[in-house]
Amino acid sequence: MDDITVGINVSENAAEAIDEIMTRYGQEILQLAFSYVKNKQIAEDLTQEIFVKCYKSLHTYSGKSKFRTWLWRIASNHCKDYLKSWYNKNVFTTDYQPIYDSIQSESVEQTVIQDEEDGQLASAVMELPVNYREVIYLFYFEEMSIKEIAVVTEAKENTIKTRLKRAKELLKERLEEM
Amino acid sequence: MEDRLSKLRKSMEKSTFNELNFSEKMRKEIHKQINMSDESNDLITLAILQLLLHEKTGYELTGLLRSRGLKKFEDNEGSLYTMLHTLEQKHLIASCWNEEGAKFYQITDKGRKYARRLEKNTASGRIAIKGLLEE
Repeated sequence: MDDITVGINVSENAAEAIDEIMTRYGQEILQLAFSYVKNKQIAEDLTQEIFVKCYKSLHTYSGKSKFRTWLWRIASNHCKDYLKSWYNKNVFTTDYQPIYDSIQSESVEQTVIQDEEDGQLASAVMELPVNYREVIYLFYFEEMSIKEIAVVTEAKENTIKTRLKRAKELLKERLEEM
Repeated sequence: MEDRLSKLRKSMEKSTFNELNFSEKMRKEIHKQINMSDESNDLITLAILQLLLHEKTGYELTGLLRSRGLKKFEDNEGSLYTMLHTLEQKHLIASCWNEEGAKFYQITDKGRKYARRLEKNTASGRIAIKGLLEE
């Protein structure tokens, strides 16, 4: 199922379409949400809300952008709204704990070191302020183009470039400190 | 740096996202929420159609919906007009302006048929019919 067929299916039967969309993007959206809120439970809740929102807005999808970009924009906005919300600021503290314990590494020393470095990179990214974390995540993890990121985050392409540059500087500093 | 970042995906999947799983339970929950919101949408549509048997302005409608206990538009009156617009596009209601420039809405024949179908399907329809039978 490519992007275009999603657009066509949508008008036929929204409930079936949303099921297909979840099969295809469920895991990715969950991960995206987690990259914003750093908390499993909240990421799951937000993912559910994102798909409900997606279902309700399906009829507004015009096919002008890729479906994926459209969905990611909904998701990104929803997560950022949550981060800005009164609830997030006052009720919860989202303590992020890197999941080191569960890394199953082979006993070869090199693998351990490599895993450790990988884990450091991941946690350094997660420690970045949200504006920078977002662009690093979309660019390197999702492998989106600058243009797509600009659409998803509703910012100018030049802004994205600047943020990306700054984010890499920050990451470098932090990884050197580790 | 560029080199290390090219491994970000692998790295995050191994550590950060290790315990995340879009489960069947979540999928079911989403379907449930969607059904619920569809149902409550039907209830509101039905209420609007029933109230528009005689022509009314959006403002009058807001008050009447509130008195029916529907709070959806309470702090968000604009969304009622979005909904009226959608209903008008579906030709379930029609609108016209009077000399003073107020816009009135009224149900159409198509809207009446649609309302009857909704009445059969929704809980409020069942309650309304039950109410009539008991009188």
